Amino acid sequence: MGEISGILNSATGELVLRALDAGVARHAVHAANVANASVEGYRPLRLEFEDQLAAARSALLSRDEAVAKRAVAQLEPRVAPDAGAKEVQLDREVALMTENSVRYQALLGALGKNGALLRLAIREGRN
Amino acid sequence: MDFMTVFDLSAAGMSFERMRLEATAANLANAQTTGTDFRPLRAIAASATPDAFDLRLAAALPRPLGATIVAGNSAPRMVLDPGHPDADARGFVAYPDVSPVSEMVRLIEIGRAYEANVRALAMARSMALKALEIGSDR
Repeated sequence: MGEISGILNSATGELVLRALDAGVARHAVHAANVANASVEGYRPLRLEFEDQLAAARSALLSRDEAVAKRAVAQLEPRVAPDAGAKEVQLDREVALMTENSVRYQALLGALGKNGALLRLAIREGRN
Repeated sequence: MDFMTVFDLSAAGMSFERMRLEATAANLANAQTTGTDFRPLRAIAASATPDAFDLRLAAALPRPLGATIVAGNSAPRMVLDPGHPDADARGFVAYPDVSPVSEMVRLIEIGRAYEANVRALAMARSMALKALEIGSDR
C-alpha cells in the first residue's frame, strides 16, 4: 500500500510535474523572445527555476516525504530579463529552445516509466 | 500557462515580421520612383521588457504591440539628370533614400526571424503532442 501510493503521490512525482510546467513556461519565454526579436529596445527574458532547485536540493532529497513535498510546493519559477544580454540573438534562443524541448521530452519519458512501473504492479508482474 | 500561449506569441511575432517584409518590399518597389512623396518605410512596434514577474502571470509575456508602418524622415537622394522630365530647375531628380543593400540585408533578417518563430511554434506543437502520449502503451 505504502509503495503504490509512493509511486502515485510521491514528492518526486510532484517535482516532475513542476519541472514539466517549468518546461512549458520556459518554451513560452523563448517564444516571446523570438517573437519580439525585431522590436527596438526589447531585452530577452529568462526563466529562473534551476537555481531554486539547487537551493532546495537538501530538502528535496530528504527521506521525509513531508519535508520534500513542502520544498516542492515552494518552488516558484520566475521570469526576469537577462542581465547579460542587450538584444535577442536568434541562434541562441533557438539553441536554448531545442535544449529545453529535449529536456521536456526526457522528463515525459521518465514520467511514462513511472507509470509503467505502476502498470506492472497492477498486472501482477505480467508484462 | 499552456502551449496555446506559445502559439499566440509566435503568431504575433510572425505577423510583425510580415509587416516588416511589406515595408521592405514597398521600399524596394518604390526605389526608382521620382519625387518626394515616397519616403522609405519602417515597421515599428512597442514591447516593453517587464521586470521580474511571477510564473502565474506569464500569460502577460510581452509580444509586439501596436505594430505600424511609418515613413522615415530621411532626405531624398538627389541625382543629376537634366534630361529627366522630373528634373528640377538645377537639373536634379529626387529619388527616395532607399538603399538596396540595407533593404536586402533586412530581408534576410526578416526571413530568419520568421523562420525562428515557425520553429518555436512547431516545437511547442511537438512538445504538446508528446505530452499527450503520457501513459500510452509503447
